[in-house]
Amino acid sequence: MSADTVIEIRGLSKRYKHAVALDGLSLTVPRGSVYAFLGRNGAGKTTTLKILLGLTRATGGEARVLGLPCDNERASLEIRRRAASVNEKKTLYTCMTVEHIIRFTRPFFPAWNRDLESRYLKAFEIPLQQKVGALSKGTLSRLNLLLAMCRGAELLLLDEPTEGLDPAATEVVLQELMSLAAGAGATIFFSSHQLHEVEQIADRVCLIHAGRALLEESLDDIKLRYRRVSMVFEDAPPVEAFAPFGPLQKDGRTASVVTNGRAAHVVELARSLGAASIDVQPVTLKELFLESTRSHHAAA
Amino acid sequence: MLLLKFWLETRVRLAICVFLPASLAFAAWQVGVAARSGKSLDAAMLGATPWEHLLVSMAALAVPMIALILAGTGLMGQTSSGMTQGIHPSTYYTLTLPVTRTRLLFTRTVFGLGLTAAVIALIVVLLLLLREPLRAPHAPASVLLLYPYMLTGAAVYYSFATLIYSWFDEFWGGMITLFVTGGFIGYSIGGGSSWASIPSFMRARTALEAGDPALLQAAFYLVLSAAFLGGALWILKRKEF
Repeated sequence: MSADTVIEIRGLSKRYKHAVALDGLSLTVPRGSVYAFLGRNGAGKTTTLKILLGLTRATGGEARVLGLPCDNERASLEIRRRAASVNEKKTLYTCMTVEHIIRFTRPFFPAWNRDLESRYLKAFEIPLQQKVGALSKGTLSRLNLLLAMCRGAELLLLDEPTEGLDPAATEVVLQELMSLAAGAGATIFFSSHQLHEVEQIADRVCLIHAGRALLEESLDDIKLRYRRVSMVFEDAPPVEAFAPFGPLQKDGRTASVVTNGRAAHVVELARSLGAASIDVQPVTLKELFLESTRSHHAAA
Repeated sequence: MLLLKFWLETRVRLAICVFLPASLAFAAWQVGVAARSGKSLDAAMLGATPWEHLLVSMAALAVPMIALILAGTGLMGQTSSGMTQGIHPSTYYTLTLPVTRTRLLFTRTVFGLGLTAAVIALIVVLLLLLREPLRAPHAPASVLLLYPYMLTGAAVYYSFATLIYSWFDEFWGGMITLFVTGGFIGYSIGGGSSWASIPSFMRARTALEAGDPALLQAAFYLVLSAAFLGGALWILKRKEF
């Protein structure tokens, strides 16, 4: 694992009694990147984050964070010292006030940044004296982010960080995350279902489905290479002819296919098959997500 | 800082634990007042003397309950009150801090046993205060002698509860510890093996009546407690969340 890599996962699998959560997942997170980890509910995102933090053990494969193996107790302690996390449920100790939990968390992290703490308390509008149990869902999410972002961590592992936030609060949080990544050089690895947010801040994306990575690329490459080619034929579209380029979606005489760097070939083929109209459009992340998960779901 | 967390989680339990022996002592004091004024007591309910009744209540009821309550939910409980089924979600926050599970369990156990020791000290003070009104046959030094015995017995209940809570959640852990402890106390009061009679040991009967300090039995209980805690640690280190 090179010094430029913060997370390296190779062939990771996790089997529970009645389910397979991860099935040979592999991915690499470069240092300093904002890495979006996407997938449908139950795809294996939370399980992956739990393995990275030492909360659960993989049944196969290997996961390393900051060069350290996640399945070793000592190494896991060091990972938790250098990496901050926000878990999916975002529940904190309800018997504490906000001030208590900040005071409680601070001593565990020698690099805790008090200036950031004051800044986030103000920017995230978190009432210091309120009991954690009385906070709204959005405020609780923001408090979780504050507790992670002030630690001076090299890596932030965030499970749905903006879940429960209103659009204004989401914008503030995203800006602060970007500022932290740019200023402190922290790597951000986050899962989200808010794909427009991912497009706003991520520079790399991994899309997983049924515990396997379907794609792992930079967002720029995705925008550059993926295209939807929509075609209208005189008769029923020749589905089989487009099979090498990916699953064809058809609706009557129209059909479309999402291609990875092969739009020109699809256009050429469509012309040779007598398509009456051909249109090539860039693909949004949402379209790519839906297309990839749908086609793999259908194949399964 | 872990102590702050454990204190905030335990303070409601501690209040209950202080109230329990205090209420038993208050009841015993009332019985003493009634006896001194010549009223006839309910012998069937009282059993032996009011003092004996109080000692049995403390050893067989108050101390086990206090140990079970203060052992609380081990590391799984993160709230000051209430019963949680399944793993409390904030456990994830604790487990993602840079603290080993060994240190979490050790700190929690030392803190909980410390509080148990404090409440047992209160029980001994109550016994000293009630010695005269209840016409106890024991000298103050003999009452003070109860302290290490009660503490050793409490350690067994405490570590047993810690073992169970490291395996089960708050709801099932509570059910199991109450059920097993209740059955165990009933077995020992009903004439079970003297080695199993922690309530009798906690009243320091052999020490006070036969001059035998029962050191072997004390060592056995301490080893048993250590084994329970070792088991709890073994489970906790392997547990997946």
